[in-house]
Amino acid sequence: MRNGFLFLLAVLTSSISFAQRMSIGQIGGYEFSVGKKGGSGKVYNFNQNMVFGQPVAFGVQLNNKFGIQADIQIGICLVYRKVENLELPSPAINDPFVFKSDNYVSNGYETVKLRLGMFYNIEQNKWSFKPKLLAGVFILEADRIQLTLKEKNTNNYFSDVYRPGSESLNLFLVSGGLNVGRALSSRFSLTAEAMFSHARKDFPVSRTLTNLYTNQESGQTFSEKIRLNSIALGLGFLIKIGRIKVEEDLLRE
Amino acid sequence: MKLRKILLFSLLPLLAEVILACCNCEEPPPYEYKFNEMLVYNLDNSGKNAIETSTNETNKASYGIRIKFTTLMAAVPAVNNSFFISTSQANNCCPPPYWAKNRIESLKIISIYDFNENHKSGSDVTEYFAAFYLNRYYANSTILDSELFGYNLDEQKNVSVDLLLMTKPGSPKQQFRVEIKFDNGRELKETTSPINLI
Repeated sequence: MRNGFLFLLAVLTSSISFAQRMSIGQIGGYEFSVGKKGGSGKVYNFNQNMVFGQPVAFGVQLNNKFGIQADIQIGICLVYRKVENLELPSPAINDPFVFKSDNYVSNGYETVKLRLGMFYNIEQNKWSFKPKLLAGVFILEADRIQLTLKEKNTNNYFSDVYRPGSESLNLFLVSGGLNVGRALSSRFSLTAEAMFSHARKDFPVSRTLTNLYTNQESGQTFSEKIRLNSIALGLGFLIKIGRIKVEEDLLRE
Repeated sequence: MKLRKILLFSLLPLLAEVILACCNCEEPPPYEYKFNEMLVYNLDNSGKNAIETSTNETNKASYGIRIKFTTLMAAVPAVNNSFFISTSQANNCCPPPYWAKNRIESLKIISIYDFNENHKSGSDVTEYFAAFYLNRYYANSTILDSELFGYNLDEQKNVSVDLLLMTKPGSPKQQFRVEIKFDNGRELKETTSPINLI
């Protein structure tokens, strides 16, 4: 569970179809990281197993099979660093660092997922199957990170500050999955959804190392690669609103 | 039924005190202490944490002096008396501030041997030392900052300050005398063990 299988409090999606029928629904469940950790950056390691706030999705069904969906999900993403394992180039000194900070530094940052894509609707009796493919942007906050380091075999302490190119990182996001629904009545369905998501971004990070005794600064810029993979599993419901017999009208035509 | 009501009402003041004890956390009166005795040790700061060393040599780039003061309790914070709750402060949610009654007026580190060309035996080399505490160095005029000597009491009520040598000495054999003068005129002097700084 530790390696990415963190709890996702709620994943809520809703969809409204405007063309021939309208529906609204939501899904709650878990999201798991795929792989050992969410991010693969040197300094900024984002863990995508996050607690969501109030995600909302809108869908428009183009015909009785295809539809488009747009959603927004607001959540919290964990940023953690196993400091002792950081292998960073040292612009000011050659000796390896002894880290005075805690081994694990973690923060929670607000995140926003904005996705747009298509789904294909297959209905058999009371069952519905919706394969989905969505793409969009995963917005992560990445504040500056400050560590205090001690140089080995000396009395020198350093402030090590990392600043991303911008405080808000826009990761490219692509998601694919399947939504399965079981109609309990003409307007109400229970749904289950599984979605795989991949987000990625390369961004510049500036590092400033300051000798706290002499106040001498040295800096460098390097590139961080963030790769986030996750699987979201959830159960929810769907409420149809609007005209229900639109499909029958279309068949008659 | 009547007995139950009597018991319930009799327990209400106790319940109220428990709630007040948990929630009402006023700033307690200060814990006042006096610096008593001083001990000095050679320090090896080559690793993550500085350690007292009894060896006769250490790295000159990571040398330091640890000054330990034992303290005497000068005043115990007064505790509000309570009818039900024990007056012990075993679980006080707000730790009291620590005030030293005898303030350190000056701190000097004197080299017993020649430190460098400009600082021969008996010279004041305090300027070459600095303390690192809470992500900042305290050197020269700030070395007597109250944060260093006023608030870093440990659980045994000992004050401990590490002074790190920031300038490498010219000769390896070194020994230092720490001289402390308090505002009431009292002086403490202690000398470190001789050590080779290589």
